[in-house]
Amino acid sequence: MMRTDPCFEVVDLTKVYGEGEAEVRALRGVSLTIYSGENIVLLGPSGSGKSTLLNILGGLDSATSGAVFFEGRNLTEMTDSELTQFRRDHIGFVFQNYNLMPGLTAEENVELVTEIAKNPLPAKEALDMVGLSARTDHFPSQLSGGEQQRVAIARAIAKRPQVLFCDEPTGALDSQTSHLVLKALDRVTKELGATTLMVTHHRGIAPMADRVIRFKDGNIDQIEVNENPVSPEEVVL
Amino acid sequence: MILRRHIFERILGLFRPLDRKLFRGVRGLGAQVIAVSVVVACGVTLFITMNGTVTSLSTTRDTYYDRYNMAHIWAPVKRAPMVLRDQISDIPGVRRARGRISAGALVDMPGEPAPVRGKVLSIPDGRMPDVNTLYLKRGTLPRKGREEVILLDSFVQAHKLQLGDTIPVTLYGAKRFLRIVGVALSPEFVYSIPPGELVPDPKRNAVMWMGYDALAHAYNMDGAFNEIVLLTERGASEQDIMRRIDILLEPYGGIGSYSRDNHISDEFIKSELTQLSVVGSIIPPIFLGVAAFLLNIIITRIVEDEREQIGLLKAFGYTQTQIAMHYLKFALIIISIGVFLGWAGGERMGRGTANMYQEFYHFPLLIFNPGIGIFIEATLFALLAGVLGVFLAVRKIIGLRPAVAMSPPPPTDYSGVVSFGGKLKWMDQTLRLIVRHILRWPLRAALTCLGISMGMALMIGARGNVDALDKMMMLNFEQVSRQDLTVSFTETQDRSIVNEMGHIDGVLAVEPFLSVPVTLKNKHHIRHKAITGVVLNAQQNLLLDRQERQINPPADGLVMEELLAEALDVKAGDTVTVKVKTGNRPELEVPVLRIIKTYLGTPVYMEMHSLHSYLRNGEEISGVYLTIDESKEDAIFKELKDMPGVLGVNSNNDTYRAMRKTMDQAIGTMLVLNSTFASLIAIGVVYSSARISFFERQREIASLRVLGFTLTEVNMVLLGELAILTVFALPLGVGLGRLLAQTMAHEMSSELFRMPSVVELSTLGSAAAIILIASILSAALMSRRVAKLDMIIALKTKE
Repeated sequence: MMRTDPCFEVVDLTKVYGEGEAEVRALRGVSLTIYSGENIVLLGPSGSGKSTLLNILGGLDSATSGAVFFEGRNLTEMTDSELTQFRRDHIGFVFQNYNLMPGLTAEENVELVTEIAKNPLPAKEALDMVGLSARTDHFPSQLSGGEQQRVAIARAIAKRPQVLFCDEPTGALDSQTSHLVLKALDRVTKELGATTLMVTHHRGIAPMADRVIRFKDGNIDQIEVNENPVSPEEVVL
Repeated sequence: MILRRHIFERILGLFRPLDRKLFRGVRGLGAQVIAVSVVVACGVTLFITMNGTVTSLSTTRDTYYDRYNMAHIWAPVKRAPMVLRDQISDIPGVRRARGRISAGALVDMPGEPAPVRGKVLSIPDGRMPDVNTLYLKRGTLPRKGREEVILLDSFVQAHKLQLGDTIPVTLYGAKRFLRIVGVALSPEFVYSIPPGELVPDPKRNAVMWMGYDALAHAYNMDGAFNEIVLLTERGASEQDIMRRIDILLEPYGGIGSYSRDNHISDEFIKSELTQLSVVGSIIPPIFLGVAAFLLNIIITRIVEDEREQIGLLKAFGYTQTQIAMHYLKFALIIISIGVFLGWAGGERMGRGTANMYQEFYHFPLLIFNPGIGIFIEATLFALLAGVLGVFLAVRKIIGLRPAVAMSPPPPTDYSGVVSFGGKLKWMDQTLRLIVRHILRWPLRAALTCLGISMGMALMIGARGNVDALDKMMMLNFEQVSRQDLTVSFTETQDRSIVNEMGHIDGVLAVEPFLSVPVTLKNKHHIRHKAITGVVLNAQQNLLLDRQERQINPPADGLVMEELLAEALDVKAGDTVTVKVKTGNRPELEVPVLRIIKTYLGTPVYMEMHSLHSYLRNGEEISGVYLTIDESKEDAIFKELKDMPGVLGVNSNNDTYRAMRKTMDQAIGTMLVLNSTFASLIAIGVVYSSARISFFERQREIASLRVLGFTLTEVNMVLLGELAILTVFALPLGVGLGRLLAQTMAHEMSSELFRMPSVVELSTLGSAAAIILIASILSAALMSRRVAKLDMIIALKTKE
């Protein structure tokens, strides 16, 4: 993958939870540059800091020290409503447990985002991209886990986000369903040219990425660059 | 033994951590625990206060009556020789009978323009009467043959009189100066109502006790009495005794004996006690019902939250009962806090209320003893509410198999709402989320709505009573009694006096009335009443039905209040036997021509000319209504005071003021109390609902925040539901409030008065305003929580 403009620049980022004896250093001075259109997989054991980094980059959490620049703007200095606006305009999220609104149908869940986005995809089209055009009128309770996750992906990408954050998107799914979800993710991010950051436990997913960043004890342990990322079909889960 | 101990240890070992969890859980609920326990406390407090006051006042009254020999039967007569008393004493079942003189008097208080109507009663010379004994607060008994009196305490206080003062009293046409030697309370005059009026007015009710010799001399009653008061043996038939007395007194002008049931002072106390018990039996259950509902939603939330833990406990081998008990304890802790607060509040408020009534009634003693039973009853009701609330909450989850309970529940199924909510495509997302959430749990939404409207209904009910009384007063003083003054005569006078009155300077209009004491009989039903003769097209004292239309009594028959007609079992067209108690005392058969509904008393009317022709007694009248030029009021009073034959003059303004004062005193406190409690309940429900809604949906809220929804947009989703439920609760609250006001008005009505069920718009408005303020405050508290919500934690918490 060709290096383009930096999308995120992370400078000496630390995050400390709690105080005194209960103090947990989740991030210990992480520095990293993420380029537009890059597909990054973050690997590492529980508590190594990968999710914390994702949350801070996504504007869901604040840093203790250091800085995060998104297209030149410092996220760590933004107010709550600026962060809301930032998420609204630029970021898509996919979580392990989907977090769909149970009271809305698949299509309505996607519309939740398209209504407030500046230049969204039609909800139907987004669902079509994840292969769910036949299930638009179903409520989450009527969908399987994989289908729910694909709705969540459609919801995340419908606003044409510049960045897509995925926190263990296949964590709750079996391998066959995981393939479907990964395929959907791969397809939409390629079509939209979104930068993707995926936190996962599955080492098998790593070959899909342009870069694989391994976390250990709140810092980056190792960065691997894949010259030839594989397609989701080739991933072994 | 060892085994049992082993089991005990094991159980304790199992339960201790759960109990620890329990206490932490209760603490974690914070404000919600307060909300529920306050509602419980309100219910318990009101229950104890109302019922405790009723019990205490009844006990106090009974003790007072007992110690001071309150008569069981009164028998007025025109004039009977003292020897007759012994015959009455010999009637089986009579414990003690005393003859006394009861004389109407006019007291000309210095500085008071209007003469005050009074009553002088004789007491045995040199000793306390042993029927209707006085409680002598100060001073001594009158000396034999002296014009000395003991005065009713409330009158003394109202006029700031001192022992040794003299008061000018017109007695039997002659003015005398009576010296005050004692101040007393009497069980007969607990409620100090001036003759012919509706509310107590201590200032205008002069009751005096004078030695028999002196009064007999002044009233020309030597060796005679005009009233018998007596005590009966326990278990004796009052009806039987009264019948015999009436036969004995008949030749001497007996006008019919009556028992405590028809004694005006006692009747008023009874009516007051009834009102208190009505409030005590209607209001507290509403509070406890709401408490049950609040507990239910709180425990439901906790149980759903702890679904996996419950599964785990079941996997460990806990029984359903053990788990249910755990959550029951939760409720019991919260209920207990409320019950303890309620006990303390009930004790304090009950004592305060009873004290207030003691002062109001001038009881010489107060026995505040609500009885342990009331505390236990209140507690049981509260516990029942708790058990009910918990049972409904846990019954579903504790039945789940451990494996099912331990796995997170599937997303809430909303597919059903489409069937009755439609696809709602025309709504925007926010509204759709709100509406579907309501439709998904319609029962809970309905209960929340009901809870809020109950709070509102309580406020309306409390204020509605006052509206009803205001309405009654308005009707009475603006529509019915339009006269300025009511003049009553010692004896009936010829109608020509109307012209005489008309010539007094400043009198603008005169309207006569005739009041004839009678006994009404139909089959075995008997009532002692007075038929009021009224003029056609009256201008000053109007006869109105409940629709406020003037009624002109038809000729040659009676117009009767519905309740009285019911008591006598007569319908329009029937004939009743009327035994006139004055003059030639004829016994007549008179048709009842019309049944009417009024708010005050149970009157019987007849057109005056018809009444005259029935009585064949000439054109006599018992008094007149006057409309006067107010600037000449004092002069008119002076002239009336000096007129022979005038028994009393009542000013409508004075009556109004007295009534207002009584109402403000007695009702004011209750009103403040009930409104405060009702507001608390409303706030409790609104706040709890908002809070539960927040807890339930914090995950959704967090998701929306992550998706880039602003705080305002998220608040719309969360608080929109509260807003919609509140909006629906308002009309429901109005309906329930009216119903409550109506029920209470109906329950409180007696033969003395019927409460109209009116609810003023301002009452509805203020109730709605309090609900809205409660909602807005709760909403503000919740939106603060939304702002502080940690998105990451919220999203990671299990569904």
